[in-house]
Parts: sequence; C-alpha cells; structure tokens
Amino acid sequence: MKDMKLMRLLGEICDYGVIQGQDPQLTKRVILSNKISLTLLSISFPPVFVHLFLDQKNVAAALFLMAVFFTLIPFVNKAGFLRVSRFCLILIPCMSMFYFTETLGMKVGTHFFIFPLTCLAFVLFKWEERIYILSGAVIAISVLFFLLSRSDSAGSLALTHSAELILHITFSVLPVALMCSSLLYFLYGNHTAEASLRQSKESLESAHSQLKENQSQLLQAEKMASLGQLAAGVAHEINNPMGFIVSNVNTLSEYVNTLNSVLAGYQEFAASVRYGQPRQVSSPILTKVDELVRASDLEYVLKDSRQLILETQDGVCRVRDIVRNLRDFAEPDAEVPESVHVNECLEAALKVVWNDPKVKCTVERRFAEVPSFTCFRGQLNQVFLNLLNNAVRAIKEMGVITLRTEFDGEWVTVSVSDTGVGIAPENIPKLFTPFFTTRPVGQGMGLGLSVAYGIVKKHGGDIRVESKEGVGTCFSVRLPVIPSKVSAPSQVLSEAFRERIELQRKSIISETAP
Amino acid sequence: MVPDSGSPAALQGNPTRIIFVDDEPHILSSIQRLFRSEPFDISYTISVAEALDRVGKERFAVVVSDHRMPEMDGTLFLEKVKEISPGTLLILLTGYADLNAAPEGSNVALVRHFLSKPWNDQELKQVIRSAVAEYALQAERRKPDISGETG
Repeated sequence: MKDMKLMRLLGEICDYGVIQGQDPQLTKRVILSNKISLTLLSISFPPVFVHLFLDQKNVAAALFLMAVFFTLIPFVNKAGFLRVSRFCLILIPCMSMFYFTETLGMKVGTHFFIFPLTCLAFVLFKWEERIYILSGAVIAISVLFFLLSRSDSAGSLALTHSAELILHITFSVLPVALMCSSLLYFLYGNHTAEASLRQSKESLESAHSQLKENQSQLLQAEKMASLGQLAAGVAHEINNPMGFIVSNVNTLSEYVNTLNSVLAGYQEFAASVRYGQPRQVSSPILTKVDELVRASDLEYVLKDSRQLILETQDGVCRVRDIVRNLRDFAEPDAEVPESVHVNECLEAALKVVWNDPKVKCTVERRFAEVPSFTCFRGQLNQVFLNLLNNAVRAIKEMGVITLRTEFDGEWVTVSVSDTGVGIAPENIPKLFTPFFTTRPVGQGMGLGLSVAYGIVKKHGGDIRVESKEGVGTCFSVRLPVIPSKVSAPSQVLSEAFRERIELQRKSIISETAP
Repeated sequence: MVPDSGSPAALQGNPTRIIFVDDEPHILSSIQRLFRSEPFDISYTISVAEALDRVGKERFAVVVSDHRMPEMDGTLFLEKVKEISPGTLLILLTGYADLNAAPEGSNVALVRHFLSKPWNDQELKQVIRSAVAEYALQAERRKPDISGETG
C-alpha cells in the first residue's frame, strides 16, 4: 500500500509543470526533467548520511545541497519556469561531479557500497528504453564489482585492484559521460523542440490566417447564397404587384388619351358656343363628342380610373415594403441597436421565406403581447429567417408551422415549431456546429443554425431544440428584455466561427505533433 | 373591381371562352381592363377549386393560371385541367424567373405558353389571341370527323 502511495506521489511529482493543452513535446521534456531530477535526488541523498557517518561534513553538505536542488527542480517546473529548471538540471550535476572528482581525488575508498544504490533510482521508475539500457549497464557494473570484491582472499570488503579500477572508471568516467550525454540530450532536445515549436507555430499562424480568409469568404458566400435565395423569392413577390402595376399604368395612359380626346371635343364645343357660332356649327360637334363618349365608354373609364389608381397605389406600397424588408436582411452589418418587436421580426422573416416556391405549409401565429426591446433588428431577422427556413425545409408534404411568442416578465421566448421530418437524435448535439448539414451538397452550407446560435448568444439569450423524428421540431429562442451587453455585429459573426477555428486548430496541432 | 366569377353564358353566337385564375385580385382586375374591348367571353376567379369546377362544366378554349397559389400550384392545376378538358390550351403566368421552380412530377410540357410577370400587355394579348386561333383550328379539325361519323 505504502509503495503504491509512494509511486503515486512520484508520478504526481513527475507531472509537475505539465499544463493541459501544452505542446506534447514540451510536456514530454518537462516530465523527463522531473524524472531525471528525482533520479539524481535518490542518487545524491543517501550518500549524505554515509558522509555524515564518515565525518566528512563538507562532502555531506555538498551532497545535501545537491539533493535540495534536485528536490527544487520539479517545483520550479510547477511554478512554470521550465527553462530555469532545465538549466539547473544541466548545470548542477556537472558542477557537483567536478567537485566530487576533485574531493575524492580519484580515491573512491569507502564509497563502493553506496554505489549499488544508484541503480535503484533507475529501477524505481518506468523509463524509456535507453534508460533501461543505462540502468542495466549500471547493474552489470555493480554485479561485476561485487564479484570482484568477493574474490578478495581476506573475505573482507577490501578491494582488489580490478575492483578498484572499475570503481575508478564508474565514479569518474561514467558520471561525467552520463552528465555529458544528458547535457547533449537536453541541448539537442531543446534545439529540435524549439525548431519544431517554431515550425508548428508558423504553420499554425498560416493556417489561422488561411482560416480567417476562408471564414470571410464563406461568410460572404453564405450571405450571397441566402441573398440569392432571397432574391428569387422576393423577385416573385415583387413581380406579382409589378405585373398589375405595369399593366394598369398602360391602361391608365389609354384612359388619359380617351379623356384627352373627349375633353378636346368638349373644348371645341365650348369654344363654338362661347364665340356665338350658329347652332348648325355647334350641334354636330356635340353629337361627335357624344359619339366619342359612347364609343370610349367614358362612364366606365371614369369609374375605373379611381379603382385603377387605388389598386396601383396598393401595389406600389407593397413593392416598397418588400424592398424595405429586403434591405433589413441584406445589410445586417451596417446597423445600430434599436427597439425591436419580435412579432414584427417574425412577420418580416415570414414574408421572405414565404416566397419560396417549395413552401408546402400553413402558418399558425400564436403571438402574445411581448414588449419591444433593444437589439440588432437585422440579426434577429436573420435568426428567425434561418429557423423558418429550416422549418419550411423540414416539411416534405403539407404541414403546419407554428410561431409562438411568450413573455414572462424577463425573457421573451420565440418558438418556431414545424410538423416536419424531425431531427435524428444523433444529429441533435451537432446542430449548432458550423458546417453541419443534412441537406445534399449545394443546398446550404450548414451555417444557418451556427450563425443563429452566435447571434442569440451575443444578445445574451439561448436557443433550444426539441425534436422527434417523424413528428416535428421546435426551436425556442429566449432573449432577455433587459439589454445585456450587446456587442458589435461584426464580432457576432466571428464568434460563430471561433468554435470551428478552434476545432481546426486542434486538428492541426495533432497533425504537426509527432 | 370584383373579379367576375359568374360570367353570363355566351352572349352572341359562340364567343371563345377564356378563364383567368390568380389568387391576386388586383392582377385579375388589371387583366380585365386589358381585355375589356377584346371579343372574348372571359371569366376571372381567385379560386382554383371554382376554376376546376367550371372547367368540368363549361368548355374553355384557354385557361390562364398563376404559378403560385395557396390552394394548389399552377402547374398541378393546369395538369388537372388537361385531364378534365384535353382540348383546352394552357398558359402559365409566372412570377418566377426560372421554371425550375415547378414542383417535381408536374408536367411542364403540357403548358402551351409561359408568360412571366410583369407581363407585356401586347404580348399577353397576342399569346391569348394565337391560343384562341389554335383552339379554333383544332375545333375545325375535329368537326369534319364528327360530321363524317354522324353524316
């Protein structure tokens, strides 16, 4: 149990300085430096007592200092000074090794029995392959050492010449080689890691700018696509009144011609009467005018003119309103917050969607008394337009779209429900993800709901979905009436894409990482 | 002007009968103005159901329909007219720029002529006149057969 605890503690210490989402290469290096410092700690700490026992206080103090340094390294890592810790790790062992070589003066003497302890540290942890080889070498040397020392005739711990030679080599050459190799490893590791870091940073930056560019292009494309769809629908809505406006104006010009000719006849008659022309002259003129009046159906023309003008005025107003609505949708960026009534927004969005030739449904309006509140009208219109578009497309046969608005004193809730095909349960979590679409290629980019989500979030609201396959779907948008922080429209759009960029960045990182 | 839905029966001889169907009353009244002085017996209705009912009972030379109507799509409506009265010539008056807007399965080929809104008054008149002439020609062709059988 205790061992397990110790192992867990060691494992924890090894993870000091590791931050979630760090470059994996850096993480590897941090863990390795922690492991190495723990190893060196376990190598340097036991000899402290030995030297104290042997009354070599200066050596013990040096070893103790070393041990303290090695203990500190994981904490330095934990504090985030990764470079400092690595620097210390390279410097301290080298310094101390030089010190020991000097102090010992190549005379290993009684150190021999401490030596096998060194391999314990290697065995304690799970190491990478090369460390196993290293520890294997150390164990082999230890075993060899014991074998040689046992061959001593006295049977005491006195050393044979060859044992002393091995100790000499291990204590002077091996540590130095170890330090040198670790130094080289760190330098090399640092170099390659930095290079790969720089490289991945560069590739990230270029990918990011590429994404930004793509994002603006996509937004533009999405806008153009919805504008195209809008234009097709609106063209129909405008062409209808334009049909009778154009025809009526033509007819009106005929009417005016008729009126002019009749009026000219009357003027001629009036002139002849005024200048006292004899009856023989004026009477035929009147007869001619009467004939003209009868032929041109003046009574009808006069009666109909009023009606014609009224109808034409109605048509012109309709066209004007459509164009005004269209402008609200086409330029959502160039607007300022204003007082908006959601019922009106829904009507406006409905007008736009309704012109789609594929619409096969009826609409039920269940509007409650909701207060106006401050927000971006064009953006809300876009949210409702996107929801309505989805509702309309969900309905394959005839169906009903229900628009409901509610107010609970704080939040305005707008729900758009349809009796369409519904959404498969596995697709519901992906609904607001940019580029998620179930429509065939070329029929939408899957940005509608993600853009709607971004806009609603920016207005401090939320958007929910309930759906049952084959029964229908209901999207509810909740918006706060008390205006929260409403940010600039351009940010709203980029917000909607942040998630996607984040996702792609992650995938790039996992690709560049070894 | 209220669209004239229950037009009186043939006035003189056998004037050519035409029916306009559009859910927009203003369009019907503007067409009514346009054809005020034409020698046709023209009916106007905003209801597809009424139009179908009348097509079943009376003989129309030409049926002119709007494309998008709340009751029924114009192309589907014209298809039904064709079923009821195969000899009738069909004209679609559409507000859409392209005919891809026609619903799947509808037989666009049945329609003799497509006119787009806003229409050209002269063109509309011309199309109606030529359709009427074609209908008359077809009727002429059918007549000798009938007389041959009976006589």
